[in-house]
Amino acid sequence: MSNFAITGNVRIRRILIRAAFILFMLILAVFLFFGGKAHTLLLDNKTIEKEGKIYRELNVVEVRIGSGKEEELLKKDRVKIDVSGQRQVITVTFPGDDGNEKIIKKTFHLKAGVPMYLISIPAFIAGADGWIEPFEPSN
Amino acid sequence: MLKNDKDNVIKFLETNLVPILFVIIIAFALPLSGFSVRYLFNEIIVRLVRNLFLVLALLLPIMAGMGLNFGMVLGAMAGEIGLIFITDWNITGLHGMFLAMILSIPLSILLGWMCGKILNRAKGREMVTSYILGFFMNGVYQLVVLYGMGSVIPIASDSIVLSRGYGIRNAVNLTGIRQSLDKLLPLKIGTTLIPVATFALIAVLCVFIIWFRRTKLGQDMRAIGQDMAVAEASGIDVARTRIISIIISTVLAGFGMVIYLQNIGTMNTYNSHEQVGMFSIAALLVGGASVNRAKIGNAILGVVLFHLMFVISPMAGKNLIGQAQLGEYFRVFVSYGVISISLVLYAIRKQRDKARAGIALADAQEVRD
Repeated sequence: MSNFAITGNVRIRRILIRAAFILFMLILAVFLFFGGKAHTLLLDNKTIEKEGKIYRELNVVEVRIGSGKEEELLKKDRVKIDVSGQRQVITVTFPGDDGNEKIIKKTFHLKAGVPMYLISIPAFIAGADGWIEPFEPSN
Repeated sequence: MLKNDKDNVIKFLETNLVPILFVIIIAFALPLSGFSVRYLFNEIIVRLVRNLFLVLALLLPIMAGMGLNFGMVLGAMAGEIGLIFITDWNITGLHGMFLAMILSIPLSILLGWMCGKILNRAKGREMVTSYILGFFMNGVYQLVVLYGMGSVIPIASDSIVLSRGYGIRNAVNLTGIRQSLDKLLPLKIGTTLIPVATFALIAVLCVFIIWFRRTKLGQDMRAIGQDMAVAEASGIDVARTRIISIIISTVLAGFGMVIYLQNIGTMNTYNSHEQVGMFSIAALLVGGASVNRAKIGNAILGVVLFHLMFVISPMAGKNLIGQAQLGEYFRVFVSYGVISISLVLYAIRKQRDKARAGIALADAQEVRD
């Protein structure tokens, strides 16, 4: 046993410091878990029907997720992108009806428990609900 | 005066025999290998980034007089378990790397505490005890990873679980975190890519070690390293301090293993940790450290010399006798050889110091009479 007697105050301070350290580590671990969780996004440029409405595919559309590479999607294209973190920003650039280029930017959140999502670009442009949905790959 | 100079030269040679030996081997093998200076510089940068943290993890137990901590493989195993979990949970990038480090901490503390407790019961035989402890824990690790993971411990990812449904595959792909730290702040000098962030992390560890030596705990460790009995008599809790030194070393080894494997990008589940201890210890000894004395400079010089030899020996072997395999054998032979030489030199030096002290005492008594 140590020759130095540990006084009550020192013991309490030591316990508090250790508890604070453990708490900090736990919070950091949770932050790292959600911030680094990888998801796969499938960017889909196909005609789809949702709740009785038809959203038509675009001839050409450019999609960027966060600060990643810009993907060019032609008709019926589906592109796979891997991203990290729950909060993502999607930027879609497409030719409008008037011939001018239109840009839509939106922030969205991914659930930690869902590894793969399908993003329907035509539905996204039309502002439809359910433009992003969890996707289960068929084996 | 001349005798003094001669003594100094002998003392210098005694202290630095291993690095001198290595410089001679490298000087001989370097022209034979035919590698360019640029290639070797690139290789040395990669090896420093990969191994230096692990080698630095060995310094504290040496400071506390516990010799070379072969038990660092315990920390390496903890780091690997952290990496298995982040791969299963699909955590990528720097987040994944740091999460693996955090996950390794409790396991490293537990294993380090256990190791420290055992080593306190084997005072004077710490190195061989920690070496065998490493083998023992390797068995426990294999049991847990091969049978426990996927059955008792939930592992969902098919990419890392064996097809039978439990146990981890022999190789785990770490592409998600591969070189995430190394590529965080790359600095390109010519054709060489300097991973500034990894070097910064290593520098932080060096600063920590320098700072730690000056703290009360660090001073206690140095006192214990110099004389355990005197330290005990002066009121230092020797057993506790020794356990702390092993715990810190094990935690740092866990971090070092994560840094090592993020650089490689693939984890050999059942073998990666096995030779880490031996190679790190050999590198430290090559740098001029001994069982009871090691500095940061020894670690840096050791990694450079040891891994330079690693790089050039296969090609030198091939060019010399037409077989690259000779170089491969040479690596292992040299690693064990260096450790053996250092241990023998340490024993000789210890005996000689004892004899010198005896002679000095006898002389002093004669003068008094």
